[in-house]
Amino acid sequence: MYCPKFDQTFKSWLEVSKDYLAAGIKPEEINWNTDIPSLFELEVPPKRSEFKPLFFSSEFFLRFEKEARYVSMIRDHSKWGVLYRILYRLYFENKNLLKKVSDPDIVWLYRQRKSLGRDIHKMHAFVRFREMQCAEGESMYVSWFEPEHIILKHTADFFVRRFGDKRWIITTPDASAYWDLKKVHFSDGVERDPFETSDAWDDIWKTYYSSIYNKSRKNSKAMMNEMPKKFWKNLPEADLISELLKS
Amino acid sequence: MAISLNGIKNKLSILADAAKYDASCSSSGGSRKRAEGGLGNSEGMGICHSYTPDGRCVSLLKILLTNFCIYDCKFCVNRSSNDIKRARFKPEEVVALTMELYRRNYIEGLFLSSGVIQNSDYTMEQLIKVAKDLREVHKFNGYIHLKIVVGASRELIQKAGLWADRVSANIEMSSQEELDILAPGKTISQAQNAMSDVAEKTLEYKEDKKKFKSTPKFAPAGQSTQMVVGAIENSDKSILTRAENLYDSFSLRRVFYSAYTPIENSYGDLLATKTPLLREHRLYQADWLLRFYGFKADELTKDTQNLSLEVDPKVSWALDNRSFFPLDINRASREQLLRVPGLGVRSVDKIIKLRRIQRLWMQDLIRMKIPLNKAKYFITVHDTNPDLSFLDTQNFDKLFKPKEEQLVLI
Repeated sequence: MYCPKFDQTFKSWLEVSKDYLAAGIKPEEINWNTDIPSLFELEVPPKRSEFKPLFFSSEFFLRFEKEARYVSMIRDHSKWGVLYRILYRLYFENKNLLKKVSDPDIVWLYRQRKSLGRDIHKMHAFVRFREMQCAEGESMYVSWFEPEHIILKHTADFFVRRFGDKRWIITTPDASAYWDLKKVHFSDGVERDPFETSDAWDDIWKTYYSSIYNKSRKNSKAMMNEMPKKFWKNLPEADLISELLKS
Repeated sequence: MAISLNGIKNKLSILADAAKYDASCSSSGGSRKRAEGGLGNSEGMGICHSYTPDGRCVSLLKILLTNFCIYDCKFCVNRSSNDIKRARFKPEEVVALTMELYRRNYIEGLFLSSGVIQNSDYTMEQLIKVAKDLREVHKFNGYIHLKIVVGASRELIQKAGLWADRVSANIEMSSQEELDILAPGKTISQAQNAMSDVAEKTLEYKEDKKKFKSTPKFAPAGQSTQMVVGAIENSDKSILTRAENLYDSFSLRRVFYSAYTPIENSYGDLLATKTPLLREHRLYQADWLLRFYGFKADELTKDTQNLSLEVDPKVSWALDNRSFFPLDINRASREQLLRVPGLGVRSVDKIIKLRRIQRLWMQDLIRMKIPLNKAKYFITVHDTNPDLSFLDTQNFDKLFKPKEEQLVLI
């Protein structure tokens, strides 16, 4: 069993994977789970003579790299193994593997992509900023969010495009992002909402939320499908829902 | 800006409540880059920032500038004869609400409508002023949807589109007879004139854009409209025929359907019963079939005035046109496959993509998670499909009819 040394980033996974692929190592011979060190750590054997390095600049590989880079944001350690298996099969079995949308590995790939797409979309939707006065008398907008996957770096640019005219911070359990009007700085995550600040406009929002609700069309199932309870704790209006459903 | 939050809150509770009968909350189709030092950016796909317990998406700050109105449309909560609390926002209050809520990532932007005060032109000017202030003074590049006040001058209507991403003139009913009873003073042709002014200016913009790259945007997210369903006897056939006509004539992005609910002090002319939301749902399904599936309104309501409440319009069409099936998943055209009940645009495109490189077996459809509960009765695959044998049986219809209790739920 091979136990690759890599730092859980896509970049280092890809470097390692290229070496393993060139050596023709089968997916089932690798343990990607670095938490469980194997007794038999083996070096990578020399490259196989029939391996063609040109493959790494082929459109088949580049397409895979793009998909894999994206999908590597999911919070699931088994992803590295499946991604390597897809890479291996792409080289040794079928260059068109990604088009075989009924293949179980490809079904997995696209399902993860969908799950990520939804998580990113929900983060764009449900991050809520609160105004905080800074020392210089300037306002800063702060928030706390718990995404399902590891997507803060990916989503930060969206918030820059919208809110780039003011300083803001988004904190998550994995990492934090601070926009200083010029650049996003990433730092460590925090375990819970670090800001003990409330915002007067949250109350205005709650007024809007209860006024725009049309009680003659009550349909809590549709609401729950799109806004499951796991998001409620960061949404001020969620406090109103049970009351509104009773009215 | 000295604005009282309490004052805003009181007005908001009245003027959001009064705006909730407009079904549209879409914020798609905008394309504005944030200005230097400004707030807001819109890029194509809209976002729902919350959902109310009616299951509706909350994407925009949807409010009226005022609920005072000179019209007395019987189906409308804001009609002049209705005894309700009235209020009017100052333009700067709407600006502050939009900017501050957007800043906190509560909304994609503003959907501003209004009761008609003084006259159509005056009202339209008030709406335009808010949008212009947001864009020019406050450098706001989030989404703006402005209601077109039907009857406003062509010049003003075309001005609205300079600041708004989307505009909408509500046609309210599918025929003039219905308007005469429920909305005295309103005409179908006036609403259509407004849509035509927008459509014309959109074309003009597209032409100018080819010559001058700097041509200012005109309503990049297009125009939409709304019809009230069931305030008076009106048939789905007339509603869908009108909708199809509007899509064809004025390139509308969307027609919205709003099921009528009796409101306090309703008139005798109005139906006292609540329109089933299921009827509204069926109209949206049929509307989808018109826009993305190549169906025509008269195919969907061929021998009937109303869509079936029991089964969706695609199933209904398939049951009436059984000889169209079965279709071969490996050979049928995209247009044909789009008519298979249960197959959506995405499923059809997935099937077409895969069949370029291999024959499709039932197992492929299952692995791709194509929803087969309805489709399986209408298709052939490379191997055998045992469910196909039902297609020619006497009680085939029954497979699609709901068990009795399920009907009332939606």
